[in-house]
Amino acid sequence: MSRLICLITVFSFLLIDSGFSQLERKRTVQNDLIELTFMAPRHINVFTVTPLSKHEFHYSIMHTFGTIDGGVEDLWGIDNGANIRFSFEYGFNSTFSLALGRSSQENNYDLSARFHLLKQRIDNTIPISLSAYTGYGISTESNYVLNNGRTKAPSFNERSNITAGLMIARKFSPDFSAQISPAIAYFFAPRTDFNFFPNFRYPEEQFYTTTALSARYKLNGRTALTAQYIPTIAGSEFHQNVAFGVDIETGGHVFQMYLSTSQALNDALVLSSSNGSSFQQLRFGFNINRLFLLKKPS
Amino acid sequence: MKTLAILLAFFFILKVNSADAQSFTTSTGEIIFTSKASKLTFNGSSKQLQGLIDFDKSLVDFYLDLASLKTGNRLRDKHMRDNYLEVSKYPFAEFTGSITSPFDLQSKASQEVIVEGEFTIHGVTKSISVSGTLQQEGTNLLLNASWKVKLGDYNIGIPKLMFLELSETQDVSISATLSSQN
Repeated sequence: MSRLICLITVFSFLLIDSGFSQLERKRTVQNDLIELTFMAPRHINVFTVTPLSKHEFHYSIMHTFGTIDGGVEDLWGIDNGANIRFSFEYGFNSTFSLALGRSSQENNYDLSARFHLLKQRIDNTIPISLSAYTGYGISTESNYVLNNGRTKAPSFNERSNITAGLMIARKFSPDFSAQISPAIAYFFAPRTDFNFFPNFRYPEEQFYTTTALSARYKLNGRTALTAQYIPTIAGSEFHQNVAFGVDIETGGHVFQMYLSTSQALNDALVLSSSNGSSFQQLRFGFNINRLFLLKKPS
Repeated sequence: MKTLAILLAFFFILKVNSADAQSFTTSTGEIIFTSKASKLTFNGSSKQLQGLIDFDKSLVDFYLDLASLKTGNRLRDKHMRDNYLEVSKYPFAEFTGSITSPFDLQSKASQEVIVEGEFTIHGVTKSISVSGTLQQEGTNLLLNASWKVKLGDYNIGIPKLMFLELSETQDVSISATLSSQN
């Protein structure tokens, strides 16, 4: 019996000794920030928490077209009324960037600053990302209709608007991210006083507010389904911008294709004049985002 | 009792033998990959390659935290981690195998060796064979090896619009000084 115990002891020692012992897998990079909560600094219409790096440059071209109900006759709206917005955004560092944009709607120029206040961490010590933006815009359209007893051309001030917003986002998993974005827009003159955008019925208000919701779900490394919902209240009118689409990342470019109920592209105009209604006719839209570094890496 | 004595003797010999064990490790190995595409050639590297070579167990075990790879372009790094390697899902590149060619532990010369085993990246495991050199220097073991990794084999797709900028085949080379564990 004691022999047997000895044998077992010896063999168990042998087994332990000749065990196949790999290195224990341990992360060597700790406490990293969550990256690319969204693929681009803009998600359809809304600024995101995704920052630019230092010296990173973001160039975007955004388009929306006419409503898709025309069918093949006008190529599902593509023949009609494209609204185009160009914008350039530059990252001074990873917490501050400036963006300059121009929308063909109302020939609106805008300048915005984006600040990244909190960044979500992998270890969850900071569970969300929090960013803020503020912007100034001006409609330079020279064709307009005077309403409400106006007799004089709109002044610089009366053409101006300001916007501000917060972006609160969380990357819940590598695939799923969501953002909630309370925002305001203020126009220095009632929107109905000067009809900058032909055939459009503007709301009368000067002050607009929203709490936008954005989400994306990644299908694979470089393709994601996207959605946004931007409800706005303008006096007694309730508008809803509903959009859904797909993001495709192709190494430096991010293509965003979507169907949206709103034709507006920049923040102030999305909040105010031409925000759509849900179940209203959809329009095709697409954004091309190009991201690159201005300084060659050393 | 006699049997027990034999067994104990046997066990003792084994213990003596394993006191001679030749096991080497590193936590600062260097790995470099090179992407040579028609429009763009770039390198990525890390000096956090973790490795173990154990001649007794004929075990060669290496892994790399892929978040430590840098290509000299923060934007490219972000996309590499998030969209291509998907580091939060698959944090490590790993190799586990054994030396299948003869290696003379008494020699101080550089020796060609062949290592065969399983390479895992992006959640996909393949059997690979890598040739390289090993050389004993003092109590250290110097390692150099290189091989090619075809991204498609590991479900790392290259977008068609980008094929001019990222090579389907990446040249990978590692160099490390492993120190003796005895």
